[in-house]
Amino acid sequence: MTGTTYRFELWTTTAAVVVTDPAVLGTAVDVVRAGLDRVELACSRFRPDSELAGLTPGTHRLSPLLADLVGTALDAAEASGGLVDPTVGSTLRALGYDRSIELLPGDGAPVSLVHHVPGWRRVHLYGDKLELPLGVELDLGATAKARAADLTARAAAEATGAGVLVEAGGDIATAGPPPEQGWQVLVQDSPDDPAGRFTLAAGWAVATSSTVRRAWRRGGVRLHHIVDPRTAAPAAPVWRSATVAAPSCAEANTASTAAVILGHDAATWLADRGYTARLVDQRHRVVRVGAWPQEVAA
Amino acid sequence: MKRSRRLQAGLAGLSVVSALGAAVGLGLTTHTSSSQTSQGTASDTGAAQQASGSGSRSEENDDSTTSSRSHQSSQSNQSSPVSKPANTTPQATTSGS
Repeated sequence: MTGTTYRFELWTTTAAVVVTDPAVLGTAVDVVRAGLDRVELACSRFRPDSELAGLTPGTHRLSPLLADLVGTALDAAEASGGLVDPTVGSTLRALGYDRSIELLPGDGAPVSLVHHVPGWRRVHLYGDKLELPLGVELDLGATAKARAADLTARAAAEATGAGVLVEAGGDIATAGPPPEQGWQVLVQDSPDDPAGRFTLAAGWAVATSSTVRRAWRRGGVRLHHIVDPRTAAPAAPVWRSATVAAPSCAEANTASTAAVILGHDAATWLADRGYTARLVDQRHRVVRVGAWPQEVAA
Repeated sequence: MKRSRRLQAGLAGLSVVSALGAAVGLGLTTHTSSSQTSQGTASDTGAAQQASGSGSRSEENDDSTTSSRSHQSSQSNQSSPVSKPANTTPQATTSGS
């Protein structure tokens, strides 16, 4: 393992570990991959052996890691006013997203959009004690990957003393001393989307939520994975993608997911909260929020 | 959500980082909450939109009106977490997944 960057497949997407010192790349990769594996085993909705998959209605003692991930998801729900809600699990399943995305058929029987989202306030977490009511199925997809990036970047930086960037399926967290010119990041959701480059400040994170990726069809209707808990349906695709910078990747992904759900109100919502963000609409136009710099072509 | 949950989740987080460290032979002890919501008072809630520079594919190809717009927030006049790139190859890509 040489150089400063290592890329690998992760959860039907890609991941990368970038370090400022090539000598520690191997150690950083080991730390990050071990951490990501633990997150997957804790909260994958599609692995029958995951801790999350084994949760039934009632009271549970969670592992410290799953307690952290559930706590992060509930914090995201609270911070977003319920827009980013981890109780959308059964809704996603009803919409057809019941297995890993690459295993979904191209199309299938129509789905009925009468399902309601139970709501995150019905879930209670006291330290590692989870109270999961009947009819509530958790999906941590909106926050777990981002939280994993935060945790593993920090762990790798602590282990190596070097600057570390972890990119987990497009969610980026950084820790430790940055490169001389700062962390250089490309933002582009799909090859059809406008690409831009920017420098991410040390210790900051950035995340992108998309209505283009992780999509499938039922009854000829295109569906995607970002559910609006107010309607129990995929969020209206006002935006192709929303990208937000924040002090942590979990917060960045919470805000980018909320932005997608908010649709036309997203830019104002983000600006009101002081976020630096970039939105791409259905006509591939870029809307910059806060101090997001003017586009520099990739 | 019960009021006690956040504090106790934070304590649990200490164990999480330690657990991640232990998984790879480390003894990490630090943890920072994941929920540091940025606060700011918007000076502009979106009414003003301005054209910005060119460079991206959409800006070059767009048909006219609002190829790139900006919504200013209070963070605009502060040190931004995102700034213009250096003239080097990007190290990572942010995209939806």
